Amino acid sequence: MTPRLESLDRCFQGIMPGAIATCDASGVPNISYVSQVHYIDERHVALSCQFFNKTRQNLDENPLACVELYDPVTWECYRLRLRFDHSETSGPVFECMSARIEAIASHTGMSGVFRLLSADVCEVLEVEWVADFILPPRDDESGTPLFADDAPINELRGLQLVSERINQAKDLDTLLSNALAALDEVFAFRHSMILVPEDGRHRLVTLASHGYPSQAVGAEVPVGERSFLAMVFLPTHALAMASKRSARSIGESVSPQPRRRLECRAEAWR
Amino acid sequence: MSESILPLSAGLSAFIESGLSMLIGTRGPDLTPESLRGVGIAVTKDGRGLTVFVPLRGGTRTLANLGDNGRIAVTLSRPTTHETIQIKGVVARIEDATEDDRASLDRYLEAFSRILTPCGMPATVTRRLVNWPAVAVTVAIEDVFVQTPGPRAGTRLAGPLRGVHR
Repeated sequence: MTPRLESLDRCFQGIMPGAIATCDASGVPNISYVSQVHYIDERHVALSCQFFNKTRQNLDENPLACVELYDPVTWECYRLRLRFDHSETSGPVFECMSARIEAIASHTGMSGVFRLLSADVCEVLEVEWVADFILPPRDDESGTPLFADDAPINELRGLQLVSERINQAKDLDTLLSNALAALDEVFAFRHSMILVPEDGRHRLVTLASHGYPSQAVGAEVPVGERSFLAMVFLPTHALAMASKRSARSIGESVSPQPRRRLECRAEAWR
Repeated sequence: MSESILPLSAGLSAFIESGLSMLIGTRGPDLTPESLRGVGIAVTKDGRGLTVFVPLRGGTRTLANLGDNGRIAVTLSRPTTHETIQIKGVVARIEDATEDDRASLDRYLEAFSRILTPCGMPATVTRRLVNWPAVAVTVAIEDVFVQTPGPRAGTRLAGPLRGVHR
């Protein structure tokens, strides 16, 4: 089975880290995790390069790579066979990938250290669905355990339902609360907030919240220059962070203090 | 060859066998790389090698590559802390996994499943990963690198952080 690259959109959300195999000119393979694989078009993806590591060095020597991606809902596995084409350090693909990495970095105070060096654009030579990687769910299991039990429908039908609820609102408060409630019911977004800028771009004010124990309406959040919120708020494009907890633990493994702890543990391996 | 890392310390051996996320990298005769998830791993008794378990399903190219040139890279990572190592080596032997091995692969999957649960991956999903039938690949270790994300990823784990492989 040869899936279309564009049908793998869940695999590109960065929830489950992908794997990348490369090989140097002398034939020594290397296998590593890749933090972001960015869909560009049906024939191209971009890989995030944050450090000039062995993977990047190998691609300069031998442009072939094999990437495995996982669907975060079903955990089906897909293999992409790639040929490295060129690196980008500006432009829309770079900016989009960089914003996501900046958001992770800002969350752990690592702005400037943990950053995107380049978006490495690769031609997709082949897409393979890895058969029998995972057994199908049993009849008594939900096939999509990360979604609501009755998680239904497709995204288009879901958006239609949310729109219908918004259209029924007679005032702004109802519109906002209906929208968040519908996102919960249809897409299982249990916790959500709507924040809008006030006072220029220096702070955000909460207009509506859903799913939190105390009503946060009216709460103000200052937007620091390099804060996590600023990274989400200031770019003019949408930014989805898969998991703040995961982002934090990646950031911590890179940041000086916890890294010392990990290095002490690594010392014990010797 | 980083002889000083061998035999592997008890601490490193315990880390390797603790049910980690495991990736296998190989390459074909034309230097085409191949990636595959491993389904189990054990340190050999002498501490100088590994037994890497390769699933037959999805592993066709990996096994062909190993038969062709024997070069292998194995990356092991603890998802909760991102502590990661990469081991490079050469294949010494390839044989079918035994029924005894199968029980150890099930234990490995169970431990992996437990590690992933706090990351939001339900055990009902991870326990469905296919780990059988499998092939046991014995590997002679040549190098071990620390790959925990960060600017020092790629540091050779032999001697006092002496070589950097990147």
